[in-house]
Amino acid sequence: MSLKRALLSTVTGLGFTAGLATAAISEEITIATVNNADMITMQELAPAWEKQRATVSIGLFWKKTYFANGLHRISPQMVAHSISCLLEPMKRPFGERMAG
Amino acid sequence: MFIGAYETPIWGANGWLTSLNDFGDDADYDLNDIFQLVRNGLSADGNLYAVPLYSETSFTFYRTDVFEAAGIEIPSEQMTYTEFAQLAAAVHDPDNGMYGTCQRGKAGWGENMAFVGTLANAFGARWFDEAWNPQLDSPEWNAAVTYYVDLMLNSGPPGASANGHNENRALFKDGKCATWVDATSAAGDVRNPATSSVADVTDFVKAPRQATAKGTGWFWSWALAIPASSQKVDTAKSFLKWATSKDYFETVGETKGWVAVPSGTRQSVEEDSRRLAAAPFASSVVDAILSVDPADATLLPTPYTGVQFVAIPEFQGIGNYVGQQVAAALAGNQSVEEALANSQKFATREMTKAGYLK
Repeated sequence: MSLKRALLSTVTGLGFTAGLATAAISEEITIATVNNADMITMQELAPAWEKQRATVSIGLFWKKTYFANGLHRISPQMVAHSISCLLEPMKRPFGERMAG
Repeated sequence: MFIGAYETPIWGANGWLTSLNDFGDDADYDLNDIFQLVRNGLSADGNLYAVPLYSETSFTFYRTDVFEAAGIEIPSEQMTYTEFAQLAAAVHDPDNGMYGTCQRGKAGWGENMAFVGTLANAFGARWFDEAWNPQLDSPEWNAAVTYYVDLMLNSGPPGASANGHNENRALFKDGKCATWVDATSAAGDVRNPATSSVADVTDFVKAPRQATAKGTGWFWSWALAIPASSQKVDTAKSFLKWATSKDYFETVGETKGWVAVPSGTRQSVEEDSRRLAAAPFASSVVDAILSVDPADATLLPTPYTGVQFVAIPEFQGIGNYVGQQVAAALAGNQSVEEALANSQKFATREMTKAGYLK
């Protein structure tokens, strides 16, 4: 298998998985964080709350603020966004895209 | 969103946050279990706008083994900053990797100015007089910042102007600092053998005083709030309740250890026997937090509330600027007098622009 074909397979697989995950999540909330130790602990424990939400499937999206880039928890939407960025021509510098 | 005790009342009063008053109707959540001082600090005009993950004041961390080896007894009563400097100098041994003290030097209203602000309070300084005139060129500010620069140059680590809370916490846990005046919320981490090399040889006393004991320990809380613009208020409230509930703190205790439970928030958590067994210092931390009075934190009268900050929107810019000036003085790029003269000029301009001064 060529490198190009292997990459395409991986991207397709990731895209399929992301699509499934996106479809399963009916609501998402974004939480701005500065990621000190106690906040990181909360992020580790938060899946327990997500599981408690029996009637509505929740996606938690943690976004670090105040400091430079820091997406510390990646939602399916972010996976899908990353894949679309990989597939499009690299028009913008990587750092600019992450900051946006 | 996570939000601090400085922004919450300002943002809440501006209508930028969702009121959480209805949390008081939820018996399971038990809002009154959260310390009243903390609830007050996260409220504006009687409305609650955030719920706390943890709250903190500042106190003195010190190495029991280092001072015992030096034959020095740390006073149990609140010492003066003059005494503190003498203690730090007595154990300062940089050739053997031990610095007498580690304090915040990185510029920022929430970094170096958190420590310097309480130090200034101790020396009798205030940010503004009763008519909102900046007081940064006062003899009290000069004495406080001169003390700070001398302390760090005589007994601190090299390059201290680059060190903030996280850097000093790492240095202290790595056994490089004999003393550190900083957040009580770091106590659990420093006393946790899983994360600290000095867990068994660290103890705590109050932050020092000088001309006054007022305002010598700061007040801060990291809390969760919901922007008024949120389209998912019910879901967000559900998350906030979970993340600051009794069950959440219990889960942290059971999974991370009771010494690591976020401190200074819920009375039931601080009185839990498992917490007290793992963190015997917990009750002294709570006592220290509850002794803080943000409405009376300076020797001389002021028109503002806040211990290490001034609870007005203009403070962030002023505090950051003064922090940069103090950091430049610490780095040796300018004198203390120049730093404070620049700070006074900047603060006067900003307060005039904002309409406080004619």
